[in-house]
Amino acid sequence: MHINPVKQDIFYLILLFLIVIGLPFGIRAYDRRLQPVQYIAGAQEFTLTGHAGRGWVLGEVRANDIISLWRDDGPLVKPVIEVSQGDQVVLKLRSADVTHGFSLKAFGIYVAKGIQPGKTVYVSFTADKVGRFIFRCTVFCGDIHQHMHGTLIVYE
Amino acid sequence: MSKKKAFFLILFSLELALLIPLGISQLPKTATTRHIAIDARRFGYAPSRLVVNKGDIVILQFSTSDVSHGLQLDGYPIELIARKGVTFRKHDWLEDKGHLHTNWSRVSSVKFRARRSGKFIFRCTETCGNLHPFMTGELIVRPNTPYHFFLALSVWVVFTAFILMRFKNPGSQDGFKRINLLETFPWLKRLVRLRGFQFWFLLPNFIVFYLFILSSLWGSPVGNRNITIVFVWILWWFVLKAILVPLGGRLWCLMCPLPAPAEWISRKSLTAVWYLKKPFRRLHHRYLGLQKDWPQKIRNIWLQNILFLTLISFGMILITRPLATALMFLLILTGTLVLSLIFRHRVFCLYLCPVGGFLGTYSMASMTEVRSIDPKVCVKHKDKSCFTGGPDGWACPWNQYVGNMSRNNYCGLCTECIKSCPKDNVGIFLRPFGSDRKLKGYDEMFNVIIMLVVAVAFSIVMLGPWGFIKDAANVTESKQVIPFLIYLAAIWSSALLIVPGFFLLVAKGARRLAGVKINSRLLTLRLAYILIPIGIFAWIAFSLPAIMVNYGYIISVFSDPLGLGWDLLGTADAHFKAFIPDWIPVIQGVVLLAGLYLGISRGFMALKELLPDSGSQIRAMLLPSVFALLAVNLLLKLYMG
Repeated sequence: MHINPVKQDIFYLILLFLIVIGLPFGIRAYDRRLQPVQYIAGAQEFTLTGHAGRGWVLGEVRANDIISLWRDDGPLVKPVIEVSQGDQVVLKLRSADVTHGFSLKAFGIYVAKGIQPGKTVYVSFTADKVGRFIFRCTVFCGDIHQHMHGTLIVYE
Repeated sequence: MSKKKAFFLILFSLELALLIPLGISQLPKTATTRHIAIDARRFGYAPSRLVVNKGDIVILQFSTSDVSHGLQLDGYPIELIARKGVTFRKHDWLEDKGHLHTNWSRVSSVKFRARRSGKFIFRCTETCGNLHPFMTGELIVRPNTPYHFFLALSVWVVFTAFILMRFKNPGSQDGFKRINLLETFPWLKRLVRLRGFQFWFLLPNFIVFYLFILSSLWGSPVGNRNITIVFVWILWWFVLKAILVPLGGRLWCLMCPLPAPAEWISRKSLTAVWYLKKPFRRLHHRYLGLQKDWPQKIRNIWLQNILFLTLISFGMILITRPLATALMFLLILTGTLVLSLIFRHRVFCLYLCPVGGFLGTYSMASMTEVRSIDPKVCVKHKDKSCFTGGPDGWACPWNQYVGNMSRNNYCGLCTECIKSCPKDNVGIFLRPFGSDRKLKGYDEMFNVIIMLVVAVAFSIVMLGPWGFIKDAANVTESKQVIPFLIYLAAIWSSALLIVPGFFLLVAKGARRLAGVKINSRLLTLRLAYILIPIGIFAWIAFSLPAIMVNYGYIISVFSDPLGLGWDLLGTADAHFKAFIPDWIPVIQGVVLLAGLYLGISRGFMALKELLPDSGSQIRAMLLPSVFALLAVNLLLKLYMG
């Protein structure tokens, strides 16, 4: 089999470029496409990541986040989520380290199985009451567990 | 001694080795009821070592002082989860239709009878933090008959090896002949001679390692949920240690994707060969960059030894944090890129790669080699294309001349010489385990000793039940700087001073016992060969539990490689369940004994060429064999005792 080596190399080069560029895009596309809950029309979506040192972090905690390497005991974050009355709310619950739990009593939400690291728990509800509501962690997750809570504010 | 007598002696001693532990196990004892309360705390249990007698009834209470922890006891249907203040027990039952049902119920304690003797590990099942996969404790049921068996068998193995030493004649050692795989399998030859052979071999790893870097930067920060940690430090490490190294030596170097970009850039090609008719500084190629040669003084594996120890010092952090692993890959990638622009050949792989050092020494024992088929052809061949490069193949990237290459240490199996040789005089040979037996320098001896020390150290730190050592090793999280420094001092001093010093004394004693005038450096280096098979098998034994216990993570991470909550194959929620975990210590014991036998028998072959008569050979083997026996018994004690 005699193929021009330069042509062969160009083929391989294109292959490598496709891989290097394609893989991250493929991952992103799949990740977006994957979440069916996200597409409840007009829903307000929030990601809450439980962190044994920081409390509820708004958004994802990625591996490149420095708090994943140095477990820091502060500063504690107490996120505030703001929605309007009547909004459909979707919470994407994640864990950055150990098993956490979640409860939002005012709307009858209690995640009994806990939030395992690497897993996602979706919670959805309609914000039909106006006011300030506290959500908290329900599985003992470390020293700051008592203070691991955040606020949901529903405006009129 | 006649053959018959030797055979009888071996059998008789085996019987003795089996009967003594059996006798001990039959001693009468009274069973009692034991109340044991275990408290879990990241990342250990207190007490972490439970010792009971066979037949005892154990009433176990389990609680946690911090986050949720699990307790799964090998060999017993006991699985508990403790949340603060509450303990749950898992119940499984099979329905008529064959469905497995699981339920959790609140319990205050569990009761079981310690029926089997031996060592049983209990481990955490709830992801409780970075070191969660290493959170274990152990239940020892006495009399520990399996351990006593292996203790006796290890002595028997050494005894047998010594009896067999009297029979083998020099030369007839190698059992079976080398087989030239390229001659036996013509399709393999056609495949290997393709320019794209290495590229296609490497491409899957290139993709996978690229994914690793992406996922260890943007995936889950939890190690056992991130593909990088699970694949690199559980799967890859096991495959490397247990399959690639013993069978293929540096086979990994053929497919390692990390230095590939550097090599492509310096060659200015992916697979094609740029051949110069007129050689430029001995080679028929011009590479990109300064094209310097590596300084003669550091053409050894000392730098690799030091870099390996440095990496090992942060081993616990490296193998539990995706980010740390990503940084290591990126550092290696950068290192190869920078060095390839300054030097010719794969200098990073040859002299700096932390893994490369032991891949070199351990590949001496491996069962594959690339060699010239007829060395006389090479002597006559003026151009030495394998070394200087030819129109169909690059000059050896590992700076080796196949014509007189007699050891695997620096051969990366890249197959360029097979392509470049115009005389078709290079083959890939299958050979008996432990064929190259000549260590060339103290750098290699130290490497072999470092590897053995690290195998023991990791067995203590990662497989052992001692939480405080794990805390010391896990310094970035525990913030225990002084224990960490003590831990470092212990590893570095035993790897570079204590064990090598002890080994040099052993070699000195061996020289005196042999009673023959002989170069002591030569003898010491030959004796160090004993530690290569022992080291390889010790690492296999060390890596076994990681794969047998954690294979569940591999299955679940297949479905969710980045820990983003995906489920590609429907296996993301595979429950954590170890594969025949109660048999792991016994399997480890068998592996260690195999290493002990191979170490002593192959070490004896290495020594034999040096000493004149059978008497001096056997006398010289006495002390080193005791050293080997002690090393193996240390590991046996850790795994089974």
